[in-house]
Amino acid sequence: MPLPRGEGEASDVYVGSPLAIIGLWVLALRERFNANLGEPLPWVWRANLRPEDSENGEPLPESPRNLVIESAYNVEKAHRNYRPAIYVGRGSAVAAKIAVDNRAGNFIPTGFKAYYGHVTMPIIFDCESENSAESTTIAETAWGFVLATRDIFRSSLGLHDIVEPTLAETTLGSLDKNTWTTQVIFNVVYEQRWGTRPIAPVLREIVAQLEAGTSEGTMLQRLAARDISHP
Amino acid sequence: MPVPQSQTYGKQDPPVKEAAGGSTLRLVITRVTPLWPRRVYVQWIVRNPTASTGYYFSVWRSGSYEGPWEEIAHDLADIYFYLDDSFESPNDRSGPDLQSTRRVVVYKVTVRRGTSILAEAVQDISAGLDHRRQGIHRKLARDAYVSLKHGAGTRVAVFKRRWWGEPCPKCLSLTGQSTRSHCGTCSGTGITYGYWEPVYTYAQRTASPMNAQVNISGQVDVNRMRALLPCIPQVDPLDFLVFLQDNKRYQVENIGGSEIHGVSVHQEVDITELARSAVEYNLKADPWRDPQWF
Repeated sequence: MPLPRGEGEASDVYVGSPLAIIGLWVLALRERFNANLGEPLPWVWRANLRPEDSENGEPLPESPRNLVIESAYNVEKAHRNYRPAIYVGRGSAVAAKIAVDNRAGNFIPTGFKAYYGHVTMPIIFDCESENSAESTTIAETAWGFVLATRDIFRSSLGLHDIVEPTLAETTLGSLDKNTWTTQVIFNVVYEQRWGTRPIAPVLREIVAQLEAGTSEGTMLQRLAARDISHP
Repeated sequence: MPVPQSQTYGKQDPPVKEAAGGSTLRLVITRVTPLWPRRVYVQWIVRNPTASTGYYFSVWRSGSYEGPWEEIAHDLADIYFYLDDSFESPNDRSGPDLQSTRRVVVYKVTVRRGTSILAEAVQDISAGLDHRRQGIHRKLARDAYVSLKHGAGTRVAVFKRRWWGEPCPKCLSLTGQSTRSHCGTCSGTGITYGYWEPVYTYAQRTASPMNAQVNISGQVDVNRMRALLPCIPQVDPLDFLVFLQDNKRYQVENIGGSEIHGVSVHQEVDITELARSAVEYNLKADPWRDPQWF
């Protein structure tokens, strides 16, 4: 049974999955790079990338540059040549064992077994720019943001840990222009829970019901309507 | 649409045939020799002088054939050379330097007698040719230019990047680098205005398929091609071209072409189409068009 979704949340992205966790930082970075007049930044996230211009159509020289902040998995956007940009992706997620056989408990009548473990997943911000110093400056801002908010995020988002971030070196790539990328990398540790349900009790139940004279149609209806998310 | 004409004569119809004002007096820069990396020697002559003395020369310097110009010598009386010794290579790039292996420095010399300017000439740093090969070069360069102008080429504005000038007050840090690639003051160059005045000429683009790359950041459009240009203006990497026919803008990457004894006859440059969000689209490329193209 799918877990409930918030407004606008994709039905295919499970709560607590890597993509959902990436989404947390996409939203957080968009909030960090907002148009806050109290702390003006030269880069501002806006949903609309069209640059501002004056009444006669001339570009406004002093307006902040729109900043793209997207999930790295969102590859279909038509403005991928746009810079500066922050793409939020992830590295290899590793599940760690914190109990014997990851076991959390059993439900003996049905044989249901519950497990849990900690998943350590690197979150990676690719901070792209056409300017090396700008790339690293944006990355420093994001890096400081993660460093300063990790405790708040950890407690309010139910994550087990957010490790202190790493500000990586700036590297050069060549697209339509030279493009500089600085990565911000940090590990997120979150709980992963899962369960297994043996097939034998289910089969025994079917046989018992058939032997008790339940019609095949009624039995299949009961099986289909049964909530299998609970033991 | 009126044909864009250079404000300094001699850029669109090389070689220079006649001096300004209908006079037969001509000023010819015969040598612009760099003495790397400290100074440049500029030498000129006056053809068909109307008097033997009384000429006053001024020497100007720029990074483009269209200026803006900085006057570096004023009213040199009957002197036919100038040693530009002001290459200090300041680390804030406030002045010109000759440290790069490819640095275009353009000189303009004007001559006056009395109060009126009689003639002027513009020349960049380039190797000199002997008298016989000057004629050959002139013929080849003119043929290349005419074929681009009347044949395969279309109108193009060449924006030469500033490598020296007033440091950008908005985004240049004390350690010398620009921190905003889309700065409205310097266009990400770190130097105020970012680019010199555009030079208008003709160029040909080769046909090139659009290459859509997919990388971690998604689908990126990359469009690389070659362009043929006349020998003037000499382009450098990171200069950009605006093809006025469709207002598409391209950054120069690599430069080749043909030469005669080290002097360029025509240029073949690798160019890459700039993304529509590039800061170069903020610069006015075609002041004759209404509404203007930015």
